[in-house]
Amino acid sequence: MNCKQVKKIICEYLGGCLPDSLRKEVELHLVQCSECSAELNSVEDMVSCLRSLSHRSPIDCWPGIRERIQTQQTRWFWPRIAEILLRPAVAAPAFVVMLLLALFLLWPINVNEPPSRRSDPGLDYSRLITVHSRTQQPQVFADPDVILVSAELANSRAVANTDQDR
Amino acid sequence: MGGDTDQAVVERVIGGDIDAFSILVSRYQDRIYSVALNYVGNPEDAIDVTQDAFLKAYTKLRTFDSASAFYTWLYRIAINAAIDFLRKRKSRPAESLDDEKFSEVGYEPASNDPSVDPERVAVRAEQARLLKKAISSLSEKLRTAIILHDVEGLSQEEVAEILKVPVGTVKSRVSRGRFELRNLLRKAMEEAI
Repeated sequence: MNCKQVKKIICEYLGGCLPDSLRKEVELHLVQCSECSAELNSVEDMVSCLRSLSHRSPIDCWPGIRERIQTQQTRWFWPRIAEILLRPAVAAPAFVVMLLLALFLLWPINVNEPPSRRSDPGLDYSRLITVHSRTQQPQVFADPDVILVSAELANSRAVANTDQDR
Repeated sequence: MGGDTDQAVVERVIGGDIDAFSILVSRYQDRIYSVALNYVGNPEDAIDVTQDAFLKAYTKLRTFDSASAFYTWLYRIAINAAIDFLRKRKSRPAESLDDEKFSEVGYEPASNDPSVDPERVAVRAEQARLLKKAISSLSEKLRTAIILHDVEGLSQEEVAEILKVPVGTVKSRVSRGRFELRNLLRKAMEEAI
């Protein structure tokens, strides 16, 4: 191994990056060569000088950092809320929930709708209800059975009255 | 309070105790400032980068993985903050590393020990000045490895954890960095003569 080769890998040697066989060759050369040995010392000196470039902070950074944290918290509150709400994972379910809520609130439900006629096809419900509506004050249907019975009674009373008039 | 582990302090901050963060700042501000200064080159910008790094750490504290050491995570944030700063500064003219301001907090104070050779101290100070300049000429990867390993004195394993690379890569980068520094230093000294 010659000086040029050793100088080329002297930093790898110092950093412990060389395989054993190569390291031994470099060591053998360094014992014999004062120039390469001086080069090694020079690199070691440079490395120790690098350590002196470490510095301490001239000021306590905490007051400045605290101030910036507080400013950030104030300034970022609403944009942060907006950012959270606009995230797809939040926005998509929120949209679906709002849509369902809107449909539920706006769906046209007619509470005065007559009861089902399929329960007793033998009765003429439409006539009964027409009679009932003439004789009674308009009211909200509560129980279809009660309404039907009321209508039947009203109808029978109407028939009886007609018979009496005759 | 000051004896709490980093993890315990982090949990307190996450729990809403902002002032507990001052413990972490006090513990690590010197190290972060030193890294920042060796990156950006002047004390004012280094203070800004240090504050940026702590602010980022504060806002991302919930993402900190307690399986790793807090300071390695913080170093990583600081390095990214310094790199971001340098990229933004590229549009502005860079300040020279041998600017007067550097000497205000600059080199190791000269020893008062009478046994110390004044000439050697002067040579070392000049070497330090040239080294600072040379470090700024290194590529980002080599510079980071040199600053963390040789300037800050972190072990190869710690640097590997910070940079998320194998230890072998750190060894290689440190060696290449030293080699380039050695050449730059030699060139600068030749020019000075």
